[in-house]
This record gives sequence, C-alpha cells and structure tokens, in this order.
Amino acid sequence: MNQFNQKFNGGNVGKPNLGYQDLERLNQSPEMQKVIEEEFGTAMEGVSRRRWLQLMGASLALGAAAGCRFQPEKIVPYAFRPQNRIPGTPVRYATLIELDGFAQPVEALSFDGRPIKLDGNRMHPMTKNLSENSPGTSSAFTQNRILDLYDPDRLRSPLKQVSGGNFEESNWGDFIAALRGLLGGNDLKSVAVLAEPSASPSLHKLREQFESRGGTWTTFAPLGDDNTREGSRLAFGKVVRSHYAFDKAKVVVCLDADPLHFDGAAMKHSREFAAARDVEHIDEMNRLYCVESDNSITGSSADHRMSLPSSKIGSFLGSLAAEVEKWLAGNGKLEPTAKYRSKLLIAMASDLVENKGAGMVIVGERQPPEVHAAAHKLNDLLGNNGSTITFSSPIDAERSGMMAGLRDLTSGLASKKFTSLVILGGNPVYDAPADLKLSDAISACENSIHLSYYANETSKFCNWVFNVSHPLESWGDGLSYDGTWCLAQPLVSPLFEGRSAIEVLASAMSDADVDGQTIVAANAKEKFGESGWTTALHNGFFMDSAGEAVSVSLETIEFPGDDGKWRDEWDGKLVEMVFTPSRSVYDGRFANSGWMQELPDFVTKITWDNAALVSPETAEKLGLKQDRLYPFSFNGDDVTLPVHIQPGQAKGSIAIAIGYGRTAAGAIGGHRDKNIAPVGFDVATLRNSENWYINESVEVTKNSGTSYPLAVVQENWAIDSVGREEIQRRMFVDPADGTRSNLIREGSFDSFKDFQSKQDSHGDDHGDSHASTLGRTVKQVAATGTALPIINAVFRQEDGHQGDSHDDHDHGAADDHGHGEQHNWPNFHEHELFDLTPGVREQYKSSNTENKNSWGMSIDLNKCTGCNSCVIACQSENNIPIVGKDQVYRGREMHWMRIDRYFGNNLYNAEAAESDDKQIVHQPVACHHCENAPCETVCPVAATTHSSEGLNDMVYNRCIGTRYCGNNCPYKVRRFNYLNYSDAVTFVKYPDADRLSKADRALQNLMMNPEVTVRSRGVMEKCSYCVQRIQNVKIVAKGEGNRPIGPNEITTACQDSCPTGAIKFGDINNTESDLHKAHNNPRSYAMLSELNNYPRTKYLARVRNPHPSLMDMDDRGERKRKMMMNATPGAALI
Amino acid sequence: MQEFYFPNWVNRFTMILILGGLGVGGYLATCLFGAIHPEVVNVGHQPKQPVPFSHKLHAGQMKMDCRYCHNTVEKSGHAAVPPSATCGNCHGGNRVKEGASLGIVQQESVLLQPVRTALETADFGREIGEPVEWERVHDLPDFVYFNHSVHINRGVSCVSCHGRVDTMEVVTQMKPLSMAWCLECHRNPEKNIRDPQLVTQLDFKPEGDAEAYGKEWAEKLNIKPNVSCSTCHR
Repeated sequence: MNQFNQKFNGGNVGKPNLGYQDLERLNQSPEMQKVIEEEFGTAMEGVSRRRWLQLMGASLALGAAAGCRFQPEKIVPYAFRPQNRIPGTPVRYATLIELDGFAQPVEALSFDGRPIKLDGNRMHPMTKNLSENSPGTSSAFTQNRILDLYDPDRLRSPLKQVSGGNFEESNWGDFIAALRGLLGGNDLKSVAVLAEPSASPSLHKLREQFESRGGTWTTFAPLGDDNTREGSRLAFGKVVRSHYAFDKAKVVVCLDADPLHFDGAAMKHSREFAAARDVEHIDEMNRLYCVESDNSITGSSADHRMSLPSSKIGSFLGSLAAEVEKWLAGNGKLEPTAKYRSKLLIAMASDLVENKGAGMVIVGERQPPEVHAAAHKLNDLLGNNGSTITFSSPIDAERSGMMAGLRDLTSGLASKKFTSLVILGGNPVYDAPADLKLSDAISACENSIHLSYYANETSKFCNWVFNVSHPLESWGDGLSYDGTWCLAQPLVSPLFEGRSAIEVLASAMSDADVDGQTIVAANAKEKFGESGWTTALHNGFFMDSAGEAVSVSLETIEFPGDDGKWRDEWDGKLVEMVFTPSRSVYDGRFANSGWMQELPDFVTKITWDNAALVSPETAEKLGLKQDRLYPFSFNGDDVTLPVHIQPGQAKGSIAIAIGYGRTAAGAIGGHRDKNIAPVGFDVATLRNSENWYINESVEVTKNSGTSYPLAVVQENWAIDSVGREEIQRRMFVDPADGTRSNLIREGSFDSFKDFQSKQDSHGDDHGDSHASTLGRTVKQVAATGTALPIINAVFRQEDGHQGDSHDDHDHGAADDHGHGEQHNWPNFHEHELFDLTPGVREQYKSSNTENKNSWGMSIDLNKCTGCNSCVIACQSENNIPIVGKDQVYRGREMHWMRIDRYFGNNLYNAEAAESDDKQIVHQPVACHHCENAPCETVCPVAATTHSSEGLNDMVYNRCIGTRYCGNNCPYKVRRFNYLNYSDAVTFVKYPDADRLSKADRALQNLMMNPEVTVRSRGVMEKCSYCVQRIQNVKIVAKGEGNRPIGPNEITTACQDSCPTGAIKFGDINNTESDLHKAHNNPRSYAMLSELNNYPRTKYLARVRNPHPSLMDMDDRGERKRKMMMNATPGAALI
Repeated sequence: MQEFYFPNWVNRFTMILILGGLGVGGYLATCLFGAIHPEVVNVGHQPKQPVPFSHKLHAGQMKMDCRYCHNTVEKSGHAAVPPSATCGNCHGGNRVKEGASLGIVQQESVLLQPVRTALETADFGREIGEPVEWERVHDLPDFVYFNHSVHINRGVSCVSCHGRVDTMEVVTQMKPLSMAWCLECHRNPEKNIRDPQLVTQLDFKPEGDAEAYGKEWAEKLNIKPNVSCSTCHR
C-alpha cells in the first residue's frame, strides 16, 4: 500500500510555468505564495504547545466575548433586482452543449445566477423524457460540463508564447490584433484552420466565408466518422446520416456498434429502445442482437450477445448476408443440431427476414467502410431503408475525410504551403495519429493559434493560446443529430472574459469586434424569420426544424464473401487491439473532470485508469495476470499497460480505452510541468493513422509483470471471506429456499406473457392473493412440486476464471400456474414477512392514509442499460465530492448511487451457458429507505431516523461518525466521509487538496447546490431520495391551497437523467402514481427481502427475449418459463 | 525510620478538594451552558446596520405592509431584503433617468448615502455597483433549511418569529431560533396560527378566546406540521 501511495499521491507543488493557476493571478509572487501556503494548514506546523494554548485561550475568550454566535453574515441585495428574479428560486434556461459535432439540447438550472446543474431539454425530440414532470434526459458526458465551468484549471486569459515554451498573459486587444493580421485579408491561401467537428450553422457560415477567401478548413476528431461517411458514400454515392427508429424496429442487429451510448442520438435511441421493451404494454418485444469485440452498453442490453474480434465482423456480416439471401429465397431453415454460434447467425437471419422492413443492421464506426456499405446493402435488401432507417444530409456533408484532411494539413505545413494555423478547440497534438507528427508541423509553423478552454498538450506548441468561453457563458447555435436547429444562450457572463469561437473568428475576419448574440440571431432570423426568435430562445430550438429526409439509391456493391473465417476456433494468439472511446473521459477531453475520472466504467468498474481488457481465456493463453503491467509493442515502440480480466471480451481481442495518460490536462487529469502524475496510460504509440481503431499488429511481451493495482469499485463492498461465502451461497439460491433470496431476477418474454395471460384469465378470483400472506403461496408451491429448471454456474470476476458450475436442478415437472396463486414473476419464493416492530408493516403497506405520503422508488432492470447517467446526476445534485484513486482503492468512494453489474451465464441455451459469453444485468443501488431500517436501530445518537413519510433521514449535524449504521446496512449504500473530501477536492486529487487557493475554493463553491448540505469530515451520508426536491414540492403545494401532491410530481435527480425511464419515484399510497403501479407489478421484488427490512426501493425483474430456436433449456413442458437463478455478483454485496 | 502518616485533616481536606472541584466544575459548566444557550446568545442580537432603517417608523407609524419591501416572502424561501431600488422609490434622491422617476423624500440625508450610492453605481441594473451590505440579524445554521413562504401562506405571522418589528427602531432578534424552540411550535402550532390574510398585522389580537381562534384556523387550514428531521435538515 505504501508503494501505491507514493505512486499516486506523489509530486510536489511545482511552480507552474503557465501563469493561469490561480484566480488572484498573483500567486507567482513570493508573498502571495506564502499567503496561499499558510492558508492551508501549514500555519499550525511548528507552533509550540505554549503558543498553541495561548492561541486557543485567546480564541476562547474571543468566542465568549462574541457570545459564541455564528460568524456574522452580510446580506447584499441587488441595487436593481432583475425582473422576475426571486432570490432562492431556481430558474431553468434552455441552451445547448455540443459534443463531438452534435448539439445536445439541455436545460440549465440557474440558482441565483449560478448555473449548477444540467439536464436534457424536455421539449426537444432528442432528449424528451419517458418520465413525466422530469426535464429531458442527458448523458453523463453532458451533465459533466457544469464542472468545467468552475474548473480552476481553465484558461483565464490569452497567453502569448514569448520564448521556447514560456508564455505570458496577454489581453483580448493584442490577441485579436494578431489574429486579424492573419485572417483579416482577402487572400487566405496560406492559412489553415484545424477544427473540431461542429454542428453550429454560424460556425459553418464563417467557414464558408473563410474558404471563399482561399483558406483551408480541416476537421479532425479522434472519434471521427470517417468510416461511417465513407461507407455511405460507397453505398449511396453521397454522405448521408442514418437515423434509426428503435421504436419501430422489431429486430436490431448491432455489429461492433454502441447506438445506445456512443452516438449523437444516444438519448433518443435509449428512450425508444426502452419504450419498445415496456413489457407490460406491448404484445411483441423487439429483439436485440449484438456482435462485438468488447462489452458495449448496447451489448449489455442485448438479448443475444456474441463476442467476436472486431477484425472478423466483416466476415460475420458476409455470412449473415449469405444467410439472409438464403432465407429471402425461401431456402432458409433452422438447424437445431448446429453449433450455437451458427444457430445464432441463422436466428438473426431468419428474424431479419421475418421482420422485413422492421429490422435494422447497425455497424459501428470502427468497422471499415466496406462493412458499413455492406450493412447498407443488407438493410436495403430487407426493406429497412426508408422504414426503420431514414437518412438525412449532415450540415458538413461536403467536407473531406478527417484522416485525409489531417494528412493534407501536415504535409501542407511541412511544405510551408500553410504559414498560419488556427486550431479551433480540441487537442490534436495529443489525439492525432502519432505517425503524422503533428506537433513538429505545428512548431514549424510561423503563426499558430490555439483557441482552447484549457491550455493543453497542443497549446504548448502554439504562439498564441486564447481562452474560449464555456458553452454556458456564450451565445451559440447547433444542430442536434436529427438536424433540429438549437440555440445556446449564456447563463452567466464569462467568468474569465473569454469569448466563443464564433465571436473570435467573426471578429478576426472583420474590422470590429462582433458579439455572439448578433451572429447567432442574424443566422437564425435569416432562416426562420423575425417572429420565431423569442419562442425558439425560450424553447432552446426551432420547432420542427429537423432536416428533411433524403432518399437514397443503392450503388452496385458486393457483400463480403461468406468465408466463414469468423467461425474459426481461436488459435490462442493475440488477434488485435481495439481502441475504444472511454466511457469516462470520452476521447480525453474530460480528463480534468474529477466526476468523470471517478465514474466507474459500466462493465469493468475501473475508476481513474484505463486498462487492457482481456477475456479470461485470452489471459490464460497469453499468460497475462490481473492488475499487472505488461509491455505492449507496435512498430518497435512499447507501452506498459495494466491488464484487467474482463468476461465478454472476444477471444484474442484486447480492448483499451483512449483518452488517458494526458500530460497537460490539469490538477485532475495530470500535468507534467506541475508534477501531477497522469491518469491512466496513453496508447498513442500503439496505433497509427492506418490502424486507427483496430490494430492487428500489436505484440505483448509475456513477463512476470509489475504489480499495478487498479481502483475497481466492484470489489469494494466484498469485505471479507464471510461476505464472499454468503455471496457464493446466494448465487445458488433455490426458489423454494425460504431463507434467502437472490439479488437479481430475470426471465424470458415468452414466460412473462404467458404469466400475464394466466393472470388476466384468472381475473378476480385470486385478486386477494396480493394481500394474502405470501407464505401460503410458497407452501402450496412446495406441495405441488414446482418445476424449476435452474442452471447454476458461477463466474467469479475476481479470479478471472470460471468457477464451479453447478448441476442443473430439476424438482419435477409439475406446473403450478393453474392455481392462480402466483402473483410475482419470475416465480420466486417471496419470503413471509414478520413484524419485528409493531406497525411497521402497516405503515409500509398502508394505502389509504389520509393526505399522507409514503415515498418509494422502483428501478426497472429491464430498462437499465448501465449508462451511468444517474450516477453523475446524483453527484451533481447532491454535492458529492470525489475522493481520488488512492481513496477509491481503499473503498472510500462517495457515490450515493452505484450501479452493480452482474455476470450470469446464458439461461436459455445450454451451449451458450458454457461459453465465455456472459449475460449482464445492471442494478443501480442507492439507499433503499427500509421501513424497518437496520441502520436506525444501531445509531447511538439518533442521527439516522425514520420520517413520518417513510424516509430514512440522515441528520449530518448529529452524526458523530461511529459508522455502526454503515456496518449494519445490508445493501452497503452508506458512505463515510473519511477525510474532508468536500473541501475543494472536486478539482484536485485528494492528497493534493492544498493545491487549491482560497479563491479557487470559492470558485468551486459556486458549483454547489445550495439546497443540499455540504457534508464535512467524519459524517455518514447516503441517498436521501432527493429530500430537498420532496420538500420543495410540498412547500409549493401547501402554498397553493394545501393541494395534494400530484401522482408523479416529484422526481429525483437520477430519475430525471435516466434515458430509458427505468427509475420511478413517487408515493406508494397514491394509486395513480407510476410508482404505485410499478410496486404492484408482478415483476417487482425487494432485494434481500428475507431480512425483513421492508425496503422502499424495489426492482422490476429483467426480461430477455431470446430467439425461440435458441431456447433449449426448458423443452420439458408445454410452456416456456425461465428462471434466472444466479448470477455472479460482480459487485459483491450482501 | 519512622513511617510517615498523613495527618487526619488530610481526609477532610481531600473530600473538600473533590467536592470543591466538582462544585467549581459544575459552576463553570453551568456558566458555559448558560453562555452558549440560544436563549442567551441569540435573543437580543442587534447588529448595527449601514443605514439606520427604522421599522418603527415605516411599518409602525406609516403602517406600510411588510410585503412592500419583503415582497418575495410568499413565493420564496427567503423573505429577501429588498433591492435598493425599493428604497429608491421614495428616497432616490433627485435623479431622474430614462423616464424612471425616483422619490425625493429625505433626498439630502447623509444617513441614506449608501442607498443613493448603490443606485448611482448600479446604473439601472447594468452594473452590480456598490450594493448596500446589510448585517444579517436572524441567522440560522447552514444545515437548517427554513422556508418563509410555507409559513406565511399557512397562517404563521411574522410576529411569531420576529416579534413586534413595527415597534423596533433597530431590529433585534427576539426569539432564540433554536431547534427546541422551532419544535415547540411544530408540535403545538395552534397558538401561532391565524387567518393567512392577517399574517402581516403584527398587532393583531383575535377577538374572544385566542386559543379557540388558533384551533379553528389550524383545523380550517389542516395544519399538521412535520417534525421529522428531513423537514429542516436536508
């Protein structure tokens, strides 16, 4: 551990050579340095005991004199209060945040003039929410942008390079004069612009203006769209954007694609996907097949997932196309004796053909253009194009490919064709292919200007660095994925006098400074006329302004041959290395965000690192061990990377996230010049422009490997061997075992529909069974000997190898559905609850208490994709600090909401169950607000008590930090503030808290939600069901004549952000509420109900929809019924 | 060598010492408890304000309604100290700008200079300027969330927590604002409930039986105050 600490805590405070570290801008002076240092704890060092006593005595006397009152506070009202501003009442504004060339429409919550939280725009077609009364949905990436705004590391003034690597602060006047010198003329042949992709019409207008004067505009992003674009050009002869209608599709085949997460329309896709899987209200469920090399969020939601190296996806598509053609010709047939993978292919093909015009084949960006083109052809063949898949023309359809453009740019810079380079945002020196040697080209360039939010790796090579403003500080516009014209309006004046890129460019290309509002309004009014502007500004977008669908006609292209290569047995060698976007830091742009760095990856649960992910079998064959560093080499360069064993990886395929190992990110992401260690490992040397996403030439050297502990939150809650054993036992829960319950439940759609129809037909005659003692049900079930086909197999993530597989249980072949007693599905034993505390059950179950609310939450495991949006939403809403890698490693992360993910064997197919391919279930876990809460009984100071509305209240100011409650919590959802995390460590890694000056702390405080107490050291904390929101709605309702609270009026932060509407919150007593309905859903179950806690958070069982031909595990009765009997708790939790 | 014995008086002395120690300790503890008790510490808090605004004059003699200045009290958690522009409605000095005419009451008063400075430097809201910095009188700990609107809208008068502000030359804290004090009313709200129309009538006395009046209104408004921790601690 010591070694570990040295590694991660290390580094002295060095003097920054770029002077933008502190708000005061004075910290360069020795006096200021001294003041800052003394501000943080060092003052007491070296103070003698006598002096200390004197000081204490004096302060005591002072305290007595002041009457021990709180520090006096001032009230400073406006001289003129802005119209409609009510102090203490938050206001929402519609604006947009751009991510990788797509506008993400957002609602920003502003509290007394400070933006403090981002949500999606509830009116916008892309981000509408399934949960009523919520703002729109938003991804973790979007929400995270509120943190940037207050990041002390952001660039605070223009910087001018004075001599090799040294910068001095400059000002807007000097900067714009310099830039006008380059861009002001009419002949811009020698000027090049390197920009991030953008969907801003105003920027495109400026680009056209720039190009008309002879300038060269290049677009580059490390996670570009070259392959997708080239694929559509091959297939249709032009660049079009595909729009997928997940709500219409009955069959979706994803090949190395992640449309539910890494996609400009991820929010819309997730919403429509979830709506199409709302099992209670649909007759036919869609079926999602995923074939991919690493686990994607989409893959974890799939009904059938097959792992296959990315380099073999083309071959797979060839076989799929051949099979589809066979079925289309009427020659297709199911082959029950074939191998599972072949059967899966046949099932896919038959499903696609059966659902002609209602299927989708989606290919991910990392596949080569030919595969994209083939998928277009396949969709065309199946009649999906024009029905489930429509096309539009993107705003920048004409631009050249990113990689090609970048090559032209670097050669142009080398040949001095370009003497000036303006870089608009981005960080190309860090994320462009190393073989293009962009940094050399930039430093050779005479005039290089970087418009950037941070001074990053690229800035160092430029003559000028300009501090662009934050999206929440600027006017702007942008098109969302569907082409809707969105508007951005500033919520605050630029904190550090930055300006937006469009303002800078427009000012530089004209004689006077141009204001962003003027540009944006002019462009919008030109298109939509004068009248709609105010409405659009209010809504955040122009209604119905989405682009027209374009019709396409297929060019002559060939399918890849049906060579069957993908069926080959793996030869035990390293096949490929796949470079994936990071689900935390994206392409590295969020490297300086503490929230994102500490966000556990949805499947590996790694924080603060990237790792080479290998499947257990690959690790064994290649001799790689968990948490060890091995050298990986390509073209003679090597990089050591830690290995993490991850089930679900394709055999022989290694996945690694890009965006780590930043050397000029900041206090969180690492900064070489300031002696801040980078986070994770930069993999730039393992790939080049030819092998950008998939590199088949990477070698790994097998050696003993240096130990490198990864901070994986997964195992933090498996405390000791006792806990482990209990987890083990719990995996093998028998449905008839009345002493334990399992943590997650799953069944097939067929069995659910069957169950539903039985329920309907029995109607009222068992209506009272809901209220009856559940034990009776169990006894009857036991008496009739329920048929319970179970497969028990365990996959233990920690060890990285398959554990004992348990024999199938077969308790006979009877079927009890006819009794009409079963009221929960899948048919699990419900524990007979008994009252330890009189009245608890009454309160818990009460349904007609007059005017009294009883809060509860329901989480639908069938809808949860594990996208982590709720985790960041919770962190943002509830002022949850980050703790740093070292503390996460010690199990001290503070997230109130965590997402447990479980690997289970395929329950429906015996052959698949034995394979490496695991089924994943995500389970978000926050405080369950037990009616009979174990934590409350053990608190010696009554700091956690039960409210009259069923909340498990946590009173921070009473807590003395015994941690008894945390020990006694069976769900392990309580978090203890071991150190003073909330004191400024949102912007630095924990041990370096003293890097932040007082002014920077004040800056951080602006971000805090004033509705929630900021907790201090030594205090236990946990999910409060967003009690501040509950109270505020109650207060509003009381002010409006004490009206009752609407059935779904209160929403929690996690619920707001959830793209699939999996989380429901509401009043258990209100029969109108979605929550009441969810709790009475037959799929509803409580976690660990046998402990008699009466948790208020309940889960809805997962439903999978496997293809009938792939369900061979229950061919023993007339009906198909599945049980998820076990799953490996990845996150150990009891 | 002769053994040493403590003289007899030592027994008594030790006893006196122990008892004395306990007594002194107890005395000091009582003093400390007394000294930090909210009743002692908070009641009577009377900071000096930058402008000696007299509630006695404005609210008392001139019968101005509390909500003329504290106009957000029914809508927001904060009663909100008014913007200087509200003062300026009467005391704006002789500035007439952009059609906004300001009152000229006491336009030369030195005491009102901070208000005029705020108005002049703020330039009609385009600048922050130099606002008046008032001293907070009623200060709750940061972990307590008190909401004015819910109390005002439900018939709790200003006077219940702030006392007869309309008789105060300088605003003084009259109630301890301690948790025990809050709970006293949350448990038995009747005597502090009245017709919500009358909450700003600080001198209001119900006709007849005050207790019955409070009960009647508490029933009418269905007042059932919550005493759970999360009511005020979030």
